[in-house]
Amino acid sequence: MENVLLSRGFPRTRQHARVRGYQGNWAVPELAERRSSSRFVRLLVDLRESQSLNFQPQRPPLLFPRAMGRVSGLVPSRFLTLLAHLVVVITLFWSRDSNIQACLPLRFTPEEYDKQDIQLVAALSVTLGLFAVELAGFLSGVSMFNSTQSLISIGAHCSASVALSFFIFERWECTTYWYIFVFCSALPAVTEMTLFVTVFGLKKKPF
Amino acid sequence: TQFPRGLKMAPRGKRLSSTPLEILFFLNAWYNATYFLLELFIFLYKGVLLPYPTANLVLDVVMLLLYLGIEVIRLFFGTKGNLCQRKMPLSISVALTFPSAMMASYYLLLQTYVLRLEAIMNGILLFFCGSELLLEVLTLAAFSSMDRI
Repeated sequence: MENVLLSRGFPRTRQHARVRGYQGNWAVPELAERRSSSRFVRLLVDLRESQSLNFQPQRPPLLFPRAMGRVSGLVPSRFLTLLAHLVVVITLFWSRDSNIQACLPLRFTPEEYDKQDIQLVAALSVTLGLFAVELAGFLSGVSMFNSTQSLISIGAHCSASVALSFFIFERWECTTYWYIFVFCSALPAVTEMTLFVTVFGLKKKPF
Repeated sequence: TQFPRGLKMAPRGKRLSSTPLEILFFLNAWYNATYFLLELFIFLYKGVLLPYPTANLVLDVVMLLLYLGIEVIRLFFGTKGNLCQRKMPLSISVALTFPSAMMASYYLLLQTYVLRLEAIMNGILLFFCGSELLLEVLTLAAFSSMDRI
């Protein structure tokens, strides 16, 4: 396969040998042992190397930094649990009617209903704001590779997803939401903001 | 044929792969895996619970499998094109973003029965498609400015 990638017209100097790949890019294929010296040159792209049998990946793929050294499952788990919590919160926004009726006495006036409604909408909006903080920290790389924050986040959002699913199906009453909010939304957001301050203010490494 | 030993990566001025795009592809791959598992279970649930004409259910499930195929190809070509700094795989990925977005809109709007959960999941998929499309176009522009050797 290497021969396909080689073009024949490269200069044979040691210092400035540039190889033209067949698409015109910087493709430098690996060579098997040749007669005078065994020089192994890698392709630019490490993922492409790992696909083909001839090449060995030179370093871990682009997404994972040197300090970690190997692919971890924390990053996708954290993202998926974060999204699961977000999905349940949006569903709760949409279907909060039965929950508000559970907060109120058997006969209620529309004013009481609106009062409870506004409280629950406020709580959900604050939750969405904290989600924005945490997603910003995650996607910008500040805390993507920090194991502590990842574990806190995974634990909190997982329990939040389960608790909020119960909240919707079992029609818990409104004040319960604040307990779930404190432990499962506020806690990871506070640690996230601490990390923001640490990285940008105190100039420490994010992982 | 001899090659210099030290030539491993593109030199500093020529590293044009987009890291945000790569992050988006990675997260999108995991999100799609979750989405397809979830949709299979949702179709099981809907098929048992709701009055479906059989043809509609079969159509929806078959389109889901086709959607899986399109997404796999799109993400594969996207990452390869981005990391190898090649325009052809990346443009295939751009071309496949449109059928992907159309399928997500179908599952969001035109399906026989749409659950709230499905609406949210498809909305997130559309968000991924849109941001990837934007970043891909910017990355293609960056690759076009690369010198041809």
